[in-house]
Formats: sequence, structure tokens, C-alpha cells
Amino acid sequence: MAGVDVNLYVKAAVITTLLMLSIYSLNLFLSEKREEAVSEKMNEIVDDIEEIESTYYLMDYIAIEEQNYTCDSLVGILNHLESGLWDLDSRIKAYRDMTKDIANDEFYIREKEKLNRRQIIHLSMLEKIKKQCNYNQTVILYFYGLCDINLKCDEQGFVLSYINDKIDPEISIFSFDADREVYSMKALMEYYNVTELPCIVVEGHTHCGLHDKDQVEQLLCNYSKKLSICNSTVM
Amino acid sequence: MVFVVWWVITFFFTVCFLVFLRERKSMRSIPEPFEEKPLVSIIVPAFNEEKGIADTIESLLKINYPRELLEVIVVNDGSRDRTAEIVQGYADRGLIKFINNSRNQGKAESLNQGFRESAGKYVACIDADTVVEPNIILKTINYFRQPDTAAVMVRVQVMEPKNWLERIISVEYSLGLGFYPKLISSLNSLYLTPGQFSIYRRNVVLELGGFDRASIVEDTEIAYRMQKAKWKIACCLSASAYTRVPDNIRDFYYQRKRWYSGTIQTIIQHRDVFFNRSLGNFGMFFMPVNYGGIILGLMLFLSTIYLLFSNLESFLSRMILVGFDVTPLVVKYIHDFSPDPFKVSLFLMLGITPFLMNMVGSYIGLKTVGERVRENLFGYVSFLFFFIPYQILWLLCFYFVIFRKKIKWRALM
Repeated sequence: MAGVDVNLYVKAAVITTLLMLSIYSLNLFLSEKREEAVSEKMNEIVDDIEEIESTYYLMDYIAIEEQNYTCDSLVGILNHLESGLWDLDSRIKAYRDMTKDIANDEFYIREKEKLNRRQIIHLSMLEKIKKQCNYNQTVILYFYGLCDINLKCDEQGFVLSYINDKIDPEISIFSFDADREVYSMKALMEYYNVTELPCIVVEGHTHCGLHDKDQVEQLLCNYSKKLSICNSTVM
Repeated sequence: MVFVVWWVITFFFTVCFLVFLRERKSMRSIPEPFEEKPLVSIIVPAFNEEKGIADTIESLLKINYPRELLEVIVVNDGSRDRTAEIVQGYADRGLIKFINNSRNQGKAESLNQGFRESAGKYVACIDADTVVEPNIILKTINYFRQPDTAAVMVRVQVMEPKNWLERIISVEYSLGLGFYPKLISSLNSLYLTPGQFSIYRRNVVLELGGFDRASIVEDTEIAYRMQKAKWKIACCLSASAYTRVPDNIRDFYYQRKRWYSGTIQTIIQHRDVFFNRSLGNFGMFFMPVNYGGIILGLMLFLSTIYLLFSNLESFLSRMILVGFDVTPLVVKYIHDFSPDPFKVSLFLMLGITPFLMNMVGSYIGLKTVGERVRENLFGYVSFLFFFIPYQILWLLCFYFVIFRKKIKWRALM
């Protein structure tokens, strides 16, 4: 009977398994690092929000002639916060995709909820500052949900990213994951009468359903004529 | 699924690597020569080979072996071109023996006829589009000092690779008909005796009933029967045969269609070898792991294709939504680009490791057989990505075999 090289195969099986375990451990290590990076970014955002809040309260306290100074300062922090929120949002999405189907993504769900709450604080502050500081920033609220099934959400997100990339920093986009149990967000959805997903609210006007680039640009120009794209868009 | 495929493929590579470490010093060595040189016959089956037959015969006549101990037999298999006329010229001068069949009977039957007419104790078979190095018999014959060796294959190289396809196939042959068979032969698991050039113990082939006329890969099929009869097949890496290969996609497709479909048919015919403990490494390791890996790899390939098409569909619908204007996205991406090492997923790591192992394994293999990677860098790099057409061809051939499509021998254009 021909021999089977058992010794060789055992060695190879051990090496292969060790290699697999190494890759798996490396992935666990990276997962940990990903979570750390998200938490770190979240902490930065909390600091920014605290900074905005304290500046806002300061504005109430100081004399009216000094308000221009605080307005400039607030707008600066708001812009910084906005880019931080945008970055964190895309990071949470990308990292969640990395771990999807392998690790429990409870962490990302929790962080997404936190992010939604912080977006609402940001939105409230922005609306207050718009009035108080005569700050002309066009605001888009974007509500999405069930994106694993509802591909329109992903597609609407893509169109809004396109618009944001095209005319940033003229607009502020706030995206809300409607699947998360965040009561303030649910209240916001009720306030704006969000009946289906995806749904966008441009300067307080609700438009549900999927909108392509031209339709979104048209909506923006209808409600905010000062935008640079409105010069070339059909009105 | 991904983990299983990864494990099987990596396990196969690891076994090959361990065998290489064990055998690396003797990869190109040749056994001690016979004290008394035996009579050797060489059979050349030929069907419409007017382009290459003269070169083949000339190279055989230059073989470094006593003339009286070397018999060259050309079997014309009902050629419709000038093959018979060219061969007759050599026969008339008494240089070769010529069997001129007016009716086409197929390669296997031509080889069987040659075997019956041969007188040598050892019989080599060579394709009529192949030439050999002068010392090929001296180098290969010594392997038969081992009484349980039934056949010896040699390294098959591409004859003067010129265009892109020939250069890729050149790398493939150096590895697939050179380095890897040598490693596999160390495990007594060689599964083929290439038709380009292999030398056999005559009585073994006759005892096994000769080449299978029904098979379109008779050189592989006979190797399976040799394995089942517990004979060994050796690989001589220091001797080379040089062959012509397809230089266009159409010929490449027909060649692989025959090879892969024939291999699948042979595996089905000899399915009892799988997990057959009495066949040692061949039954317990090579067949299950190699072909299991191919089948699992095909399943993974199909699911990847499905994913790619889904992503393509989603990409297109997104592009339609933005009117195919990607400028802002690209500008923003370039502006904000910052590499993020944490964006390396487990699937990417699992996908990239077999690719890296293949890259390193191929490099070591080419170096071992004496190839200079730098001289055919294009072939080497392209070969690493050639698994895509190979997978597609395997899938097609599974389809042909399952739905019993007719596959015929087809000479290179």
C-alpha cells in the first residue's frame, strides 16, 4: 500500500491554521483600533459642541457691539464641527462595512445613535446662529433607513455627497438614520412630516422619495437662490 | 465558505512549500546511469503536422544516444496535408520507421499502434510540434533504475515565445509542466504524462491496455491508471522538450477546452481514486485537495462575479442619478485622500494572502527551474492574474461535460 505522508500534512495543517489565526487576530486588533478611532473622533465632536454652547451662552451675556466677534468665532467652530461630523459619519459607515457579517456591530449602531443626537444639537445651534448672526447657510436634512434593503437610501446619500462635494461649504447636510431609536430625531421627523424614506428637507421644505442630481439642485435653487450652482441651473 | 476555500488553497500551497524545502537540493539532480544502455523507441503520432514534423524528426535524429539503440517511429494518422510525404523522405533514407495510416484513428490509437510496433524496453512519445534537447534520453532513462517507475515526464518549455499570450503560457508551462509536477512527483502523486514528451516502461503501458481511445486527454488518463496500479511517475526537471503553443485566444480556448473538459471526464471516470487510502498521497491528498480546491475556488469565483455585477449595477444607477458627472467626487476624493490602515477588512486579508503565496511560489518556482524572471516580467505578472480566464474556462468546461457537448482534438492553427 502506498504511504500517506501524514507528518507533512499535519505540519502543513498546523502552519495553515496558525496563519489563519494570525489573520483573524490581526483583524480583531484592527477592529479594536477602528472603535478607538471612532470614539476619539466622537470625543472631539463633544468638545466642539461644548465650545459652541459656551460661546453661544457668552453671546447672550456680552454686549451687542461685541457680538460680531462671537458670531465669527461661532461660525468658525460650526464649520469645523460640520466637517468633523461628516468625517465621522463616513468613517462609521466605512468601518461598519469592514466588520459587517463578521463582528457584532452593536458598537457602530450605538455610535450612530450618538452621532444622530449630536447632529440635532448642531442643527439647533446652526438655526439659532443663522438668525442671531445673519449667517446664510443652506440646510438640508436627509432622513434614511433600512439601507441594507432600501437601496434608494444609499443612492440618495450618493447624490447628496455629490452635491456636497460640488458646492461645499455653501450648504450643510445633516443625515439621520431613521432606524435608530433617537427620540429627538423622531420628533424632528414628525415635525417635518417625513412619511417615507429616503426623504430630504431643504430649508424646512419636505420632499420625500429619491431625487436625482438635477432635482436636488432645482430644489436648492428654489429655496436658496444665492447658491453658486443656481446661476447655471434652469430656474 | 470563504474560510474553507482559503484554508484548502493555503494548505495546498503550504504542502508544496514544505516539499520544496525538503527536496530543494535534489530538484534538478538525475539518478545514476544504467550500466548497460537499453533499447529505446520514440513514437511520433502525426496528424496534419506538415509545419513542424521535420523539425521534430531532426531533433530526434540529433539525440545523444547510440543510434543502434534508438528507434524512431512516426505514425501518420491519416493526415490530409504533406505530413506523409515529408516523413516518407526520412523513412526512405532509413533514418526512421514509418507507419502510414490512410484513415484517421485518433492520437491514442496511433500511440497504441506505435507501441505494438516498437522494440524498445522504454518507449518515449513526443508530439509532432515539439523538439527535444539532445540529452533527453540519457537524462530520463536513468529514472527507470527504480523498478516501480512506469513513466518519466520532462520539463515542457514554450518554443521561442514571442507574443503576449505565448509569454504568459511560457510562465504557466515552467510552473505547471515543470516546477509543480516535480514537487508533486516527490509525493508520488503525478497525475499526468504530458503528450509533448514522456517516456514509458513499454510493458507497463501494454499491461494496462495501452492508451484509452475514448479519452481526449489520453496522456492524463493513462497516468491515473498507472497511479491506480501503484506505479510511480517521475519528473526530470533537468531535461526539456520545447513545444509550440497557441498564439491567439481562439486556439488557446480550443486547447484548454479539450484539456479541462478531458480532465473533468477523466476525474469522473476514475472517481474511485478520491480518498482511496491504498493510493497514498495521490488518493488522500492530491486528488481531494487539488480538485476540491478548484471546485471551491470556482464557487467563490462565481459568488465574486455575482457581487461584482451587483456592485456594477449599483454603480451604474448612482452614475445615472448624477448624470455621469464624477468630477466633484474625484476632486474631493483626491483633495481629502488620506490612507486609513484600519480600512483593511478580514476578507481583503484573506483574499490577498493566496495571491501573495502564488506570487512568491511562482517566483521561487521560476528561479528553481532556471528561468530569469526579469527577462519575462510581463509573463510573470500577467500569469498572476490569469487565474480569471482559467476559472472562466473551467466553468465553461464543467458546463460542456455536464451537458455532454462534443469536444474534439483540434490542431493549432
